[in-house]
Amino acid sequence: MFLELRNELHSFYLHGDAERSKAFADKCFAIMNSRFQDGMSVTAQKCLQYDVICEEFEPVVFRHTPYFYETGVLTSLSDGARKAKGHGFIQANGWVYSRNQYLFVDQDEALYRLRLAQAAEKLYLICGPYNDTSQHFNFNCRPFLQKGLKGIYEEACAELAFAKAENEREFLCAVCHGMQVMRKMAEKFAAKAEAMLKAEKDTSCRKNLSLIASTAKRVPWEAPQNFYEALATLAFLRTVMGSLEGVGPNTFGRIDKDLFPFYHSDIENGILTPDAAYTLICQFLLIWDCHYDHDMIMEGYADHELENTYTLGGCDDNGLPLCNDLTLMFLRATREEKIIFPKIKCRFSKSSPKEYFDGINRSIINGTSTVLLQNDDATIPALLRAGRPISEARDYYISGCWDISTNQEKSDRGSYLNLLKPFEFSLHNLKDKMDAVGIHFECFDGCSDFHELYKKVLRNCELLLDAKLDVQRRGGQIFHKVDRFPIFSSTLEGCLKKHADFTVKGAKYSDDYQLIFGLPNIVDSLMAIKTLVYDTKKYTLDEFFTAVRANWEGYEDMRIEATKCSGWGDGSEESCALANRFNNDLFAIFQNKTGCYGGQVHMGHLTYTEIRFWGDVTLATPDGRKNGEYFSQGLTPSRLKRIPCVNDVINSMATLDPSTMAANSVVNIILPSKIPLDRCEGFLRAAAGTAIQSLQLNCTTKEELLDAQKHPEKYPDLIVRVTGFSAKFTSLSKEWQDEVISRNFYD
Amino acid sequence: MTEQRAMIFDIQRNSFVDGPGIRTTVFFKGCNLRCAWCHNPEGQSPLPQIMQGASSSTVCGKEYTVDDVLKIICKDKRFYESTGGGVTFSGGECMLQTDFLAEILKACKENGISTAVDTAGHVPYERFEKILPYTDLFLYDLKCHDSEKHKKYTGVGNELILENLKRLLESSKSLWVRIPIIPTVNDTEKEMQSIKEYVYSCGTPERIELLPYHAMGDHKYPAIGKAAQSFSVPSEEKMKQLKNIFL
Repeated sequence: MFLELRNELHSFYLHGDAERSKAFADKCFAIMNSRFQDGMSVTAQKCLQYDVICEEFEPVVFRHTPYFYETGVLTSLSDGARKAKGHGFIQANGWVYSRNQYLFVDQDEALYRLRLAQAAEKLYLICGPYNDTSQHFNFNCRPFLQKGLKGIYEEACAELAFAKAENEREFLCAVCHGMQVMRKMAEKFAAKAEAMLKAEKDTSCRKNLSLIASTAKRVPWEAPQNFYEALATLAFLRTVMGSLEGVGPNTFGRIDKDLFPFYHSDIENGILTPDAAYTLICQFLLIWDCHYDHDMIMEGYADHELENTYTLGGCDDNGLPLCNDLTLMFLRATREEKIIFPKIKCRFSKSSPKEYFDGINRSIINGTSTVLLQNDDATIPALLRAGRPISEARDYYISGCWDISTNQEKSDRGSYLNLLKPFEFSLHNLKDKMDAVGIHFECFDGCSDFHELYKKVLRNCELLLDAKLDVQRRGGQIFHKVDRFPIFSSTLEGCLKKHADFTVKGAKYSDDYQLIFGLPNIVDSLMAIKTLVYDTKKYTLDEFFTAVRANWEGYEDMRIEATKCSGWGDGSEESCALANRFNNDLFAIFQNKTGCYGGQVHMGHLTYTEIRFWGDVTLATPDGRKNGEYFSQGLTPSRLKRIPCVNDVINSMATLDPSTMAANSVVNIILPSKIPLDRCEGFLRAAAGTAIQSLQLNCTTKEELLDAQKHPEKYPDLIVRVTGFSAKFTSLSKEWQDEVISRNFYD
Repeated sequence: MTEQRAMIFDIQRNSFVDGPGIRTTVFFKGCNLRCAWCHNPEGQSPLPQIMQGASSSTVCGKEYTVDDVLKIICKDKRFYESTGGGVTFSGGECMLQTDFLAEILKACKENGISTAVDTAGHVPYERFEKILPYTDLFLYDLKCHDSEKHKKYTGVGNELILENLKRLLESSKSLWVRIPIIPTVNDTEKEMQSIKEYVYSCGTPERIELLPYHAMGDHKYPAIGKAAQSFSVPSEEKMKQLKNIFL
């Protein structure tokens, strides 16, 4: 379906996007540099960036869709982040940042070098302030849906009367300016559509162009009045805000909840039918999906996805399950049109209705699902413990790959902490590396009992966390001198009232999120040491470490013994108790820390493609893993543990306290293909009662994947959850296919 | 717990075919029927036996205490609760080890687990009386109505089976009648009609399930030194036609 639209979009997005974006950036950079004046504040520079992009961009209006959004500023796979994904150059929206980023080095060179050394050793990955990327910014779409750009403009104007300091006034004026700039950009779309109408003969295209011409004059400056205008507002903001701000607006939020009042009112008033709404949804989703070639081979770090999401389901303000007509239409559109992007996050709980589960699971059991399942029963308690009121906790959504977000907080997340590195540095006595990264972890040699060893493991985790938070805090203090984000900040609760950008603590919440990498492999390693060295005394610690340090070469029997020790996910009391203890001890450490902007530091268990890339560069571990072998995702049991029954995995997850993981936890599960819908539903209802928050569920078999590797032509629609995104299995590189094939499969 | 032991040849977690929801199915070893189409031939003998695989052999059958079995069953309570599932005792013929069965059923009920007993019904009714208080659901197999034919294909007549079915239905316990559809043996409308008439003359089962014959157990026969008797798999159309009789 929608072939003409697909063709029109593909011909634009799949050809020449980098050249187009680069040429535009070069032109804008030259103008911005020429208009730059010494002494200009960062905020003033940002306003200049807004102005030049607005003046110079040529709106791209497509004939087969009623949406207007394409600025031509960004490359096809970019979400607004300043760096052009896959090409490396800085787009026009990254002018301010790229002009000022030298400050990171100038103001604290030693810190900057330390950060580079620590990141190079894969001790962590930083997003957000002092950042490696500028993705993962959740623009809050609700104010635009509720009051339009005009409403935000008026609010900022009203606040000007209360602004005490010049920097406060400057922030509020920049917000007003940003809203006016976006209004002008919308008007340029209206003018372009009007011009195109003159030559357009096709009736359906004329209808689209007329709609754009009349709507863009008014929306999103005015709040949307109907379902189409609400979708048009979301489409416009996603690309236009990204084109201006230099950070990636990567979610449409709770789209079924937020758009339902528009839909319901249109249906009641007889101006919309369910079929027409479904068509609008398909057209809306396709404009993002067609940015991307589903058959493009995935090889690199993050070269394979469009960072854009929406959330379905969950519960309403009273905590009752939410599944409305739009929920089911979005699921159906994704299934029938085979849409991979935007990524869908489906919130579920024990009480989700059957029709909702069936709507999701029909794709999952057939191996065509793109859904990330997010468990309310574990997520909401975590948010409550993190200090969010119940109204906000119930209203969370998932952005990026698996960021738990509410509309009231800054959202520069995705900050990973690699707990396996201190473990590796200590066990393998990598003293030179410890010198290079400036952290001296405690070595494990000579530990006389398990308790002593365990304490050292924890202490090392804390040393790493402290080092990273120190870098982030100090770097974060420079960030606001490098870039400011008035438009983005205006969407967060708190910034307008405090008259301050989020980079200077304007937002209601300024918490940090540290995402841990390594719990399963560390627990299994500790279990192996405990069992083989301290409990059964089969080996001395020295003998055991000698084998690990030799990458197990010459010690295969010992390695097999290590893999056969009880471990995380097998449901045994001992492994569950140790995992629970380790998780709780980490949580206690995190609770005593302060984040980048003085907020709390929340803990989660997940990473991204690091499961491969950090595995590649980590030496052997005591759980029987050899040098360079992959790690497991989040809380997923290690690939070395062949746990026959998936119920043991779920039961293990139930022993952890989900409220310790406000930054989310991820588990991968692969069940067999074509299991009955009822079984899939039952499995999810059982999983809802555990600490699993994000669940990447695939239904396939190893045999099927091996066959697809050999005969890709037989499996054109086979989709797998990779790490935070879905992809056609046949589009993965051999290495990524092998990564999926080496996961645990359950009967 | 007593030291009662039972000979069991498999405990299958995450089962979805032996009753409602997600279940754990416990397969008791030993059966007093010899159904020609049996897909668990290793469950017929009450004794442990060697199963010869292509490259290795395994012992089929192991003694379990009530506590052993209960521990395994209890592992998956969250799955039973989330799906309306529970435990199913099957076989072989679980009713041949009635004392153990009664104890494990009782223990399950004490632990809040829903119970089902999958039986061919060829045992004295007193055995059913022992387990009735702790059994939530019976999965009751019926092969054919005619006793001679029954004897030909299973080794025993079906008088006792039919009588027990009648008494169970009268007891008001939840009961599903399960009929394996075996081409050339019972895959006729006449046969189904006859079973239907008998069943409804006794009472009203909660459900009647028709289970198509499958050959997935055939490979087990040579592993225990026997030869499988071959039957064809009924077509989907045939199954639909026969199911219609019970609508």
